Amino acid sequence: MAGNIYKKINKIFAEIGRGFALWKSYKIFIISDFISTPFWIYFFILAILIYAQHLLNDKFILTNLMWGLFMFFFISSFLWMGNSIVLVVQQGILENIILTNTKISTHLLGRSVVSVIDVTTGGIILILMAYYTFNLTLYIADPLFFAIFLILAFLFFLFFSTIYSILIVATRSPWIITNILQFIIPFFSGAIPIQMFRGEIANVIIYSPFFYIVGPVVAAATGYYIMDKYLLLILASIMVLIAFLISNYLEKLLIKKALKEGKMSLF
Amino acid sequence: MKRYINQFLAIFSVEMKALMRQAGQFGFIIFLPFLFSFFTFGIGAGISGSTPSLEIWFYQIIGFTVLTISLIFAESSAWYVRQGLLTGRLEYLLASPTHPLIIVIATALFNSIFALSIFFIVGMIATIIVYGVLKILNFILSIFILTLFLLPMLGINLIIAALTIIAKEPEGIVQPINSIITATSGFVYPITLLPLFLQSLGRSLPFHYAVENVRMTIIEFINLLYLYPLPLLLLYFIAGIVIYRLLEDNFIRKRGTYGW
Repeated sequence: MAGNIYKKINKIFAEIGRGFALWKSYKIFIISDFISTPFWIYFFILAILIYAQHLLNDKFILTNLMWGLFMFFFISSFLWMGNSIVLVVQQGILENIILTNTKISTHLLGRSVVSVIDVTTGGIILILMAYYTFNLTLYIADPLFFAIFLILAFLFFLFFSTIYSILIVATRSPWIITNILQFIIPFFSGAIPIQMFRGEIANVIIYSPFFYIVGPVVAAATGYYIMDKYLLLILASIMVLIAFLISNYLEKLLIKKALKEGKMSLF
Repeated sequence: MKRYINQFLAIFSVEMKALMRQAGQFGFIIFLPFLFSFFTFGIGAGISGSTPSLEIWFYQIIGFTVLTISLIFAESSAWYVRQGLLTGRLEYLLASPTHPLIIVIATALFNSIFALSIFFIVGMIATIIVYGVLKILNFILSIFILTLFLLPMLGINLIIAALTIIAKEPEGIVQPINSIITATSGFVYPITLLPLFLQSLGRSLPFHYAVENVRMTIIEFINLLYLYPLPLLLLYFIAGIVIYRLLEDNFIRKRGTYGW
């Protein structure tokens, strides 16, 4: 039993080590991220606020949009992590991962190091941009719950990207789906707080499972909870558990199909 | 002359075949401007508390379409060079008696047809939705205006391809350039909303003039006075050819290496 746990921990550390090595090997991307992120922030904020230019000086709206952008970076980064599985299959790496009895989610954990570093970098640039260009000081209203909800969001999106990667593993152009989802999911997840929307739009968003993962992170950052934060914590934990169970089930199904039919696809 | 025509047709047909193999990609690119414009429209409607005007949506969808075209134009040669190198096709092309200018013209023409097809489909749908058939002639005229501005864009495309020769990996070069072009050219918002130095940056690039002229031609009519920067912007085209040839000669042909 103890040996089994030790092996699992070893695998996790090996994957994390791989993630750092992967990140370090793309130095040009690090520089490119530093240059391009401020421009993308400008673009997204102004592209949305053209519909309500008078709100460019509204601190409440800008604060919410900035945190919304942070979650957009977060979700987008994790979706691209799921998307990376196609390359793993094309390079014949996935078979080796399965042979070593390693879970796909554990393998993706390595790639998540790159995502976490990217999101952190994006977050720092966002805070600096908000201060120096929009004259806005971004602070975290509820740091403890922000950290808790962010960890839950990390776990949820780790399992979600596993589910996503299993579903797209055999597609020829997964980047098309990823590109679409990286805009749709933040919109339907409360990345931009629902109190900013009209009732009918807000009533649709609350039915999205992502709302109970992304919404609480933004709520803890801005301090505007739409329901009791402890209730949100329970709901977010349930969502993480559901995502874990689905990813586990699909992974087993994928491996079963691969062994039985010799093809790496659910469909 | 016949030899050059044959070379041109060979490269052009290879690009066409590659496109036919990826028809889904073409469909997705057409869908992109709708996706982005509905995304901002949805959030804009939500936070403004009222139904936004369709004119703003039109302003944005035309902007997103020209943006999509600009980004394809900005990076296509860089990827052409990179993929050519990865597949070994570039070496064959350089070793063959194919004139580099023929390669440039053939891929540029392919990209132009690709870009203008996207603009035609998206722009036509958007124009009919917002202005009905009344502005169709204006819209057709705007295609010619966009064609004119594709030349300076091609120059920037060649400069990026030349930089890829040095940096090896296009994405690291293309990403920052794309973000600068996207944020400062006023595709989906007036550049007057930007700080002055970013406005100046946007005004020094051809993309701002392309999108403004296209929109103005559809909504109002062609304004020749506004086309005044075009002769100056054509310098980008010349600079692109000169810089590309210079780096190609110095790095690929003389040293036989790719990158530093």
